[in-house]
Parts: sequence; C-alpha cells; structure tokens
Amino acid sequence: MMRYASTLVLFLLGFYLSAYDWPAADVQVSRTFGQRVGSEVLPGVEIVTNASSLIAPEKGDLVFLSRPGATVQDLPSGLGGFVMLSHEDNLRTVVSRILPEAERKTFQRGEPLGRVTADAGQQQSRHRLFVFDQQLGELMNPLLVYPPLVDKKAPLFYDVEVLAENSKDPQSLFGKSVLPVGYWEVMIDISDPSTLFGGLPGEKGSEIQRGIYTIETYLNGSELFNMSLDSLHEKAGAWIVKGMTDPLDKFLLNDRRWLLGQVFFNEGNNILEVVVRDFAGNETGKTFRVRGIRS
Amino acid sequence: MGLLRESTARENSAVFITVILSVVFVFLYSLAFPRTLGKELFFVAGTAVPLSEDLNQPLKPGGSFFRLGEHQGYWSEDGTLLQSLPLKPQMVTDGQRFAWYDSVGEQIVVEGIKGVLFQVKGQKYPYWSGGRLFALDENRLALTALGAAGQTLWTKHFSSLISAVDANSEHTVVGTLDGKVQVFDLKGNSTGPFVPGGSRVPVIFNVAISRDGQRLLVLAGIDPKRFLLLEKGGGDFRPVFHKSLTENKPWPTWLGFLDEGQLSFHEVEEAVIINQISNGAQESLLPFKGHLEDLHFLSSKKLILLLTNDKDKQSLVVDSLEGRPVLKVTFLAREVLLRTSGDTFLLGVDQSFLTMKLSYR
Repeated sequence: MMRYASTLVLFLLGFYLSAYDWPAADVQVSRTFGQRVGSEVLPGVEIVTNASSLIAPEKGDLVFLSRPGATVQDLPSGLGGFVMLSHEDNLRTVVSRILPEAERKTFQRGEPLGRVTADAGQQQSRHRLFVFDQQLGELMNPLLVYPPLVDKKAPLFYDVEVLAENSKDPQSLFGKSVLPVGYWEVMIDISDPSTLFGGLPGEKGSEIQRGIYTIETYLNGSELFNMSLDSLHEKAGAWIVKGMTDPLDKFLLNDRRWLLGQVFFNEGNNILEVVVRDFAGNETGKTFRVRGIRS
Repeated sequence: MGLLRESTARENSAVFITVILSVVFVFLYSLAFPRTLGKELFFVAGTAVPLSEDLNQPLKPGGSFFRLGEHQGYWSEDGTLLQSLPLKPQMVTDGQRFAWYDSVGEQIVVEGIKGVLFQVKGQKYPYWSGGRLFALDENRLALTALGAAGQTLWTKHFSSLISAVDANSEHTVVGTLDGKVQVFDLKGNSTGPFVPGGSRVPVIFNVAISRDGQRLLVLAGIDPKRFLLLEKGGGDFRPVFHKSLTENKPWPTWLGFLDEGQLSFHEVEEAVIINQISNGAQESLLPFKGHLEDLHFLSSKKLILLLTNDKDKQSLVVDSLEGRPVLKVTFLAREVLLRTSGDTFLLGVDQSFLTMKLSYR
C-alpha cells in the first residue's frame, strides 16, 4: 500500500514538475531512463526529432558548454556538443548533440540552445537528455520533469524463469507449474514495445523497445522485489536505484533481463505475482501458481 | 650673419667634444669592465613537408605520433616526417602511442611504433592523460582506468558529467559538473570528494595533479570562477591558496604545472598567469589576443610557447617565464598543431608541417 502511495506521490510530483518543455515540439522518446543496451545503461533519455535546433526546457543559468574539438579537456563521448543549465528548483538539465551557439549567462524557457548535429544519412537527429538533482546528488529520471509519454502499449513479458540453487539451467514458469521445494532465483525477460515515427505522412513507423519503469513482485502476498526507476545515485563508483541497496547492474543483467531475487517455494501452492509498468503508466502483470513438491 | 656663423662654430665645437668624450668613456669602460656579449636566441627553420600525401615509412624510436585535422602521423626525433595517414576514428595520442576505436571489433586498439600493442574490448572512447590510457563511456558519466597492457584497473560511475581528468603515474583526479573533485589511486580507492566553495554555481572546469601527487590545481565555479591550489595533508587535499577570477567562461580553460611543479599556470581573459607554487605569488602575466589553443613549456630554455587564435588568425607567441616577449609569428590556418621535443618544435598548419629548432648563437 505504501508503495502504491509513494508511486502516486512521485507521479503527482512529476506532474507538478513537468513544467519543463521538451527541447523540440516533435520529440519522441527512443530510449528511457535506466534502459540497458549492450553493456551501457542510459541514465537519461534519448529522444529523436526533426527540429533543426533545440531550445531551453526551462529558464536557467548556463553552467557548462561543451563544443567538440575543444582545446582543453576535450573528453570523448557520444554526447557531442552539449549545454548544461541550472534551474531554480536545484535541478540541472543537459541537452546533447548540439552545436552550442549562444554564450549567454542565462536562458529563458524556449530560447535556442544550438543547432542539432545529425548522423549522416539520417532524417531525424538523436539527442540524450539528462536531469541532475544538484541537492540530492542524483541522476533523475527526466520523465519526472518533462511532459509525460504518450504510449498505449503495455510492457511485454518474454519469459519468467526460475533457477534452482547450484543449477545453471533456468526453467520457464510459462511451461512449468510443479517444482521441487527449495530456493529459486526469479528472473524476468521484459521490455516495453513502442513505435517511432519519422515524421512523414502515412508512414507505419518503426518498432522499438524501451525500458520499463517499475517492477513489483510478491510471493504469497509478501513483497519480494519492488523497484521504481526514479533516480540513480552513485555509491563507491557504482549506480544504485533509489530505494535499493545493490548496484543496478547486479539485477539488470542484460537489455531486458532482470534478476528479482531469491524465493523459497514451499510444499503445496505458491503464488508468484509480477507487475510491471512502463513510463507512460501502462501496466502488465502475471500470476503464477507453482506447486512445490518434495523430490 | 657674422653672429650666426660664430654661434654655429661654437655648437660644432661642443658636438665634437661630446663625441670625443663618449668614445673615450666607452673605451675606458670596456677596458675597465670587459665582458663578452650574450648569445642571441635564434629559431632555425627546418623541414617543411606537405601532409596531404600518404606517407608510411618505418618508424624510429624517439619521435612522436601526432594528429592534425584529418591526418595522423609520426615525426622522428630529428623532425623528419615518417608517417602521414588518414585519421582513424576517435584517434588520440600521448606522443609515444596512439589509441583509436575499431568499430568492427568494437574495441579500442592501441598502437606504438612497432604496431598493435593491445586491444580493449567493449570500450569506445579513449583518452590519454599523464601517459596513461583511460576510456570514457558514451555519456561521460563513467571512467575506466586501464593498465599498461590494457587491463582494467577500475571503473567508476559518477552522479554528474565528467568535466576534467588529469593523471600522473599513480593518481587520477576527476572533476565533475556537480562541483566535486575526486582523486583515485591505481586500485580505484578515492580521496575526497572535495567540493570547492565560494561560487554561486558549483561546477568544475579543469583539474591538474602534480607529478608527485601532492598538489592539485582546480578551476571551479561560476560567479565567481575560482583558482585553487590544494596540498595533501593527512589523507585529504586541502586548499592552501585560492583566488577569484574575473573571467567566467563556462568551459574548461588552461591549467597546469610548470617547471617540475615549481610553478602553476592558468588562463584568464586573454592572458596566462604564472604563479609560484610555494607562496601563490604571481610570477608573470603573458598576454595574448583571442583564444588560447595550445601551450607548451620548453624547460631547457625556460620559454613558454602559446598558440593563439584571434578571428581565424593564428599566432605562435614565445615568451620568457618572466613574461618578456621573445617571438611572435602570425599566420592564417584552420587546423594547427604545436608539439615540442627537446629544442625542436613542430608546427603543423593545415596541410603543411614545419619543424623549427631553437639555438643560441
């Protein structure tokens, strides 16, 4: 109940804070906060746009401006040129892959930050946006301050598996309802399908996979795993999701596989519930009835 | 007329006496205090080679790899251009080696004069500092320190974008846009974070660590931007000197140690300030016009070479440590490179490559 209340509060907080504008009118989110692709976890969002320049999401002071090919501390990355603004609510935003032009001290909401840099042969340009909470020292989910996503597709379960102690062979709960009594690790394969449009009239768009926002897991009504990707903070050089104790890479195993923890299946009926939400608030859930038997 | 003639004769006689007295004085002075005239410093132009042609001769030790515009290459110790090739993706060099991103193998490749030294799988963005190789992640939010054979020493994630990295053989100092400075040893154990105060907006623009790891320099903050010198005391670095700067450029500006760590330098508005490390006193101010593109110190001659850009007009400015101007050459160029090796320095200008030697005569 407390978890539902805190999620509601965060959504309300997000709604309240979403006074920030997207840096272009036609923004579509292609990758979400905490989404893993290969070995990389994205602690921001990636957007695509047809706009030729990007604008300040909110009034703010210019903190840092990076131009590619700078002569001092030209640190390489995929960000290209970027601008960091500091806003009145102690948040800082970064808009990347632009050619910063104006060297002014402050920006009003909607003022241009710079022209976009596009990949050769691409109609749309890709940009990464980050939001930093300067007071809490956290990387914040940008979708808590930017306008909400419009998306009607719910997250999709590819598999829910369990792995016995001292075993390397996971078993899918989609095809198995009887398991030996004992300790099992629970893993889910999940992602959030969506469609990206190129901006041409009548086009079908391309299918993409986004990350998921929350996971809640219960065994016989008791909470097993509860995670909400609201912010990340650094501890001992690793990123930790707010409210969790272990680093993110300990339970986000690959692009869509999450390790939810260990359960004990008792003899008889065990009810395992997994509920997942995406960043647009769409929810999908699975309930598994596992009969534990003595082997 | 007669009076006028008499007056002119008197003046001529006075001039004659003055000249005679001057000659006698110089003769007597030279006799009494004899000394040889000091040697003059000369810049002797060496070879000038075009860069556009592909050149790939065997590489000799002692030279240096370089990058200029869309080319990379190698010049030998005597200033001969031995290699000029198209630039590889993400190519960076510390002079002795170069690293680049191999998109097919999805790895960083490190090469020396004898070819490939090692590869680093899964990394894309190489960066050299203090003769050591690092790799940044896609978002400038994680840094990996690599060992001499390419092995991972440590990887750290940060809660804000990395704005500055500097290293010596044992330590790495990292500045981030949330205004924190952290120092890591070879095992990844950290000192700090140190958060410089005194500015309205906390942010780190540049950091430098001394060769012995005992001192840090930091450029931090907006309103005002501040220059700080920190020294190691106990397990931490503590500020021993700090001052506010008048300039407020919101990007990294020049900062570093000179002359075996005896001096520090930092960029201000159209000038470089050199400070004594021992007491923070200002040693000299080296003015320039436009943007500072590169800075080198010729330790043997105690000269500072500044490469500046003022509205696409490049200048090579040579000043003494005390701030006396020695040389200024102005030229038009889009891409410029300045490298020094002993008394030889290399000036790359767009498609040309010029070596110059310093000598006293």
